[in-house]
Amino acid sequence: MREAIQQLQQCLGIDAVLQDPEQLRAYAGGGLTNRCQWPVAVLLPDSVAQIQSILRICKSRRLPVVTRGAGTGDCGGAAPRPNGVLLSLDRLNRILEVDPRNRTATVQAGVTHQCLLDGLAGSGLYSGAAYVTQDTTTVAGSMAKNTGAQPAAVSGHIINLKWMDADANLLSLGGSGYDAPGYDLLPLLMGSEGGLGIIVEVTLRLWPRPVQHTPLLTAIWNRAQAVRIVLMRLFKAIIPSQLPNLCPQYNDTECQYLHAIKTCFDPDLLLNPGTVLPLAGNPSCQMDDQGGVAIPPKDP
Amino acid sequence: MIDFVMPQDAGVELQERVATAYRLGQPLRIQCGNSKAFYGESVSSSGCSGSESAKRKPLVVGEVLDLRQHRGIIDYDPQDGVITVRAGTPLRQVNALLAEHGQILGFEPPHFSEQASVGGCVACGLSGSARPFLGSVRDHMLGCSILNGKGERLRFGGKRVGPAAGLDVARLMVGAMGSLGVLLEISLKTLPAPEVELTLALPTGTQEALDVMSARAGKPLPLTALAYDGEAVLQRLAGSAAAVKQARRKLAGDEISSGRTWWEDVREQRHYFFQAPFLQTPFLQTPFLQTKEPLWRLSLAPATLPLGLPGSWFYDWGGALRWFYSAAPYRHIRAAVEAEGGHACLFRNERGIDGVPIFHPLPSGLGLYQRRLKQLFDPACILNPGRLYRDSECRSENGL
Repeated sequence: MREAIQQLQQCLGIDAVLQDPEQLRAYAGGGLTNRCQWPVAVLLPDSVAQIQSILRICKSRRLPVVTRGAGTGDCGGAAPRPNGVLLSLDRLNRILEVDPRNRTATVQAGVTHQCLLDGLAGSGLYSGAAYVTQDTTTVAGSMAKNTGAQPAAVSGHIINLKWMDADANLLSLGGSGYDAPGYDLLPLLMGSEGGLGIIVEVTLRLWPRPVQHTPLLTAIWNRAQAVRIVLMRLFKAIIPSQLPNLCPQYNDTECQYLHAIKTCFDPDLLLNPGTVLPLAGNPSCQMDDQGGVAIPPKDP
Repeated sequence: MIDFVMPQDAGVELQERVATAYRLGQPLRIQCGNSKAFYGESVSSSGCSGSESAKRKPLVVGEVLDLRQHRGIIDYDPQDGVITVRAGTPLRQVNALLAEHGQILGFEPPHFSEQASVGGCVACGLSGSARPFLGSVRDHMLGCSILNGKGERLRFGGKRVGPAAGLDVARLMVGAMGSLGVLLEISLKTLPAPEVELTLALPTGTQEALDVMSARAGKPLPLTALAYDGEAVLQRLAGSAAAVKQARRKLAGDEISSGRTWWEDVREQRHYFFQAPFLQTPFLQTPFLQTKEPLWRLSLAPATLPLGLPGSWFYDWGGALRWFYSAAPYRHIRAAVEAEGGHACLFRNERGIDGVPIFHPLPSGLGLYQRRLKQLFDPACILNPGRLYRDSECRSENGL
């Protein structure tokens, strides 16, 4: 382990590898506060190349890597492993390009929604996302978590996604247009909680900034009524900001498939192990006590 | 009056057929209304073995797995805004039911025939003119149950509006051309039909049209479609009467009375653009020898400048989707589109030109994950082999 840390320090610089318990404390848990664990070290890369080196080092030493955006998620997606490192995307915080003609913005993964909104001030455009925690929530974090986007699904907001797979290959999903050839891997990565790959750069669609944005308080009796209110408002230019994520119930075979998809992308289970499948209703889908993935015995 | 087909559940029989095919290694050609049979590669033997050359004309194989018997609306709750149907349900039946309740499928799927089914619409993943404004098939897909390549029945996603937690496998099925699973049941989000729809035509040249569309799409207007047919920019306003009226005052262009038909014709490729272009060789102009030039579907950033390739153009999705009739060599077309970061699909190939891969080649690195997913869902490679990519999707990793 000490050798691995030395190697990481050489590659990132000493100030980008945090090991002091006081510094680690801030990264011990995400929004899910009852799963606080301290990582061996927190890494603060500031370039895609550094992330690539980190993954190579960790893969060769089989060190689990948990990727963290802002740590606002409450599903334990950013909860570190005690035997692994925590990769924070804080320093990848640049807006790389805003293209008003095509209505897109290309940002690094650690850019917060508020920072993007500020960067777009005066353009008449916005990114379509609104969060209670938008001051801190990062663009890539909310994508990995599949939250917050309206009116379209989260994947509908992405033109292009640069991500790094477990073998440290930099890959690109999407293109310059609205669709891409082949199987559509975008929705798989949305909601993968960093377990299939690390999002490093996103080209987002921008939307015309609404003339007015007003909070609306409505008394609602049941869920169906809530959805109806939301739907009926869509065409009347009142766009709701957020709907909660809902957990489908999966049976054993379906769970095996979800696990198998994870192993398709990350055969050594090094990326955010244990955080991909926050599933209700089936014990074989859930995380074990150590935070590892409970792999079903049978291979589908 | 639409004659609704009787609902019928053929799930068990389909499951048995896929399981048997898995045991025998018998490729299956999944088919519903067969309205989009022209789209994509043909189901072929070379999809199953990596040793054959991609250039050799593939042998069409496979027994037809007909899903038309698996049909009917399972659940529709207009208040929830979700409809769940069996895959073989005709699209027109779904549209008619939604219309009764003042709702629509927001992604405006093309039918291309009366028989078009919901399963085929999701498997092909094609969306109409509203796509940049209201979302694509993928965005409206909430959940589905499928038969994998072993005949196991799996359900992914939910029947609720709102994103599902965990891996979103249901949306992976959109546009997979049936090669990852036989779609059995599909849950889609529905939207309220707009109170008012209005189409404005503004005559311009191509360059100006791109500027106009770009400017319009950047303004908070109740737009649901923007297209340029070579003569005029067509703008569709839809929403509440007050919003449409207010927007109408701000926009240049003349209202056209047949707006609804116009957009329907574009969606179904009945618009004159899709009828006109024929091979420009004089001696082939006799009626029975007339064949259309290949029709390309180009996906690009909306404000991309005209590509300068010879042929005729139709711009939809505010410029992000470009239909292109051209006899230009496919490598030229793909190179020009790729230089702009887009991709080109040979949408209709009525002349039957050989050796042109229908779908744009995958960027490096992604092929590996596509193959792994195919192997996971369909280990014996019996579901529409070769339909998406002719030669490579079923090759094992060590065979490469």
